[in-house]
Amino acid sequence: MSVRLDAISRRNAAGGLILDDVSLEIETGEFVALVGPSGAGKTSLLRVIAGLDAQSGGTVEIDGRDMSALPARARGLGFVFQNYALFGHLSVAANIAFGLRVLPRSLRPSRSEIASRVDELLDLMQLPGRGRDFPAQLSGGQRQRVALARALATRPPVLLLDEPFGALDPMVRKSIRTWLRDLHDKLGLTTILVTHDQQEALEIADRLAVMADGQLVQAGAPDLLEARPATSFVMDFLGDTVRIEGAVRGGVFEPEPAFALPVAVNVSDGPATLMIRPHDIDLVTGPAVLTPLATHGGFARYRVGDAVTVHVPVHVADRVPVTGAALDLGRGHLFRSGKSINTI
Amino acid sequence: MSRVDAAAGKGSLNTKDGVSRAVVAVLAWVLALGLLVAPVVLVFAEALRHGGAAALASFSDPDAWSAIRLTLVMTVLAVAINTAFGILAAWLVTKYRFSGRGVLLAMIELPLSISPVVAGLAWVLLFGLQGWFGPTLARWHVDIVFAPPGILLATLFVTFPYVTRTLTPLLEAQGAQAEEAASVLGAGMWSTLWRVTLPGAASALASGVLLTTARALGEFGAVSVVSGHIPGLTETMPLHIETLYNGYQSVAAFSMAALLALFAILIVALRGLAGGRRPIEDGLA
Repeated sequence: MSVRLDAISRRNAAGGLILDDVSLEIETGEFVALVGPSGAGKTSLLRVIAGLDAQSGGTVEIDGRDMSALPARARGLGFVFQNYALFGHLSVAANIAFGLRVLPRSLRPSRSEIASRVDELLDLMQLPGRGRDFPAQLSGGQRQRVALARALATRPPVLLLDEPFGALDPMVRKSIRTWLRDLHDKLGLTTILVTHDQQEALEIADRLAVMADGQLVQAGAPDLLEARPATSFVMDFLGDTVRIEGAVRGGVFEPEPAFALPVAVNVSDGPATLMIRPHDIDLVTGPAVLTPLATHGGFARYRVGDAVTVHVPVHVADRVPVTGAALDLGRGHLFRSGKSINTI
Repeated sequence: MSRVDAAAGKGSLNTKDGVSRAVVAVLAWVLALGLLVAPVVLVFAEALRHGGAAALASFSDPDAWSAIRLTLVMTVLAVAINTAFGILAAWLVTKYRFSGRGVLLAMIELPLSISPVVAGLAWVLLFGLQGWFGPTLARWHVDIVFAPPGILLATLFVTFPYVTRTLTPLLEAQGAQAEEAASVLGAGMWSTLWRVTLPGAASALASGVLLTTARALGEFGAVSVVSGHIPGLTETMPLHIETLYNGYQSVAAFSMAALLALFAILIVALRGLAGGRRPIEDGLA
């Protein structure tokens, strides 16, 4: 089911604006990640969608229906909390069955139907036979899957996940990520995931919505954000960047450091900042001293001058000039006052 | 300092620590035995001074039976009512932030600091014959003071804080997340309270209920003021004990006292059991 957020704003108790005019459309079957540093408003937005917090302005529509006035329990969405919030006094099976058992009598499945649904979910979550255990007896990864099963028991069309991998160790995180994406596809869910880990978001989501200071900065597929970051913040947030200050004069960006080559651009004159991924920099022969650093992850790393680190794929490392280097910044992005002014 | 020196220094510190710990432990035991256990033992010894038969015989007095019955009925009613109100009050003050919340919290604790005699007097002033509502009640032939309803009111007043007081910190610690989880899963307010909030705080609730029971069984001061000491009608066990004692029926008095002490010991044991089964982690996992 599609989710449409229209001009959502929310003030905290002190009156501060924690969500500022956020509009976002999520299509049926889409997997969207809300990303941004802590305090950006990701979780606040998720809670507004779920109905746990009320927005101060704007509307939440799900499948074309305005949900703004409905409380959380009437929205019928799946929600997985950051710390899972399992019910410690209930068994795993009872946790999963909770959403079914509190349905009004006319909609509630029979006992046997509930039991078979619980078994089905335990199988789906790769936890067969663990129904009688209590949450405290499970590992972090298992608890997370129980929380997911509990959220999915009533077959909600929309699944909301608040930092679901936050408490897991890195190995488990990686495998559960792929598994979650498969689950999303298999069940035909519409999923909104909150994470502060851009790598995670890039791996799992169809589309990223980058947030900062309560605002939605840019939303788009990972390759779009990479190719056309709207602001220097988006560029910064999505990966390592090298930042070169300079100015545009007569259609040429002139970098401040002497060891960086000028770049022909198509923007008006004035100060500008060039940002570039370390692996997008090409090294050519030039005046700067080149200091080799440790090789890591298939990249040979060099320090150029005294500040810039360049990543060169190992298989082309033999083409790196040895006498001295200069930077070819042709694949960078140009920003003025933080806003993108041109893709070079 | 060499490693050997350091180890020796640590050793002597441990010995010193051990000695003072032993002293504290002995002191605690002496205090507990002297101030808490000895009186109870004495009560039983006095009750059994003329043998078990004499002690048991004292219960055959109809006034004794009436006192036991009245005490148990009052306790059951007071515990039931105050458990319900206590849960509501604890829930209200932890889950909602409203104006006057601090005042309400302080008021809930009032019975702990007010002398029970004052509380009893207040009821007499309200409902006694010379009191504000006395004449009206007399016209309707409703007896409150010097009758069981007055005893119930007095007991309710003194036992009001216990359930709320034990439940509130646990509900605060439990936080909102389990309840939020219940609400996104479709549970309404009551469903959440019964299925999530209270089970999560079960041990605290049990503890509060048992404290209420203990206090209700043993309350003397407030009840004494409103009861009128009518043997066989408005005397609870503690009041009856006083009457017996003042009438020099010491075996009967101590037998009744021993029975009351037995109830108390039972409650302490139950409370230990309830506290022993700790909820899994903090109710959240």
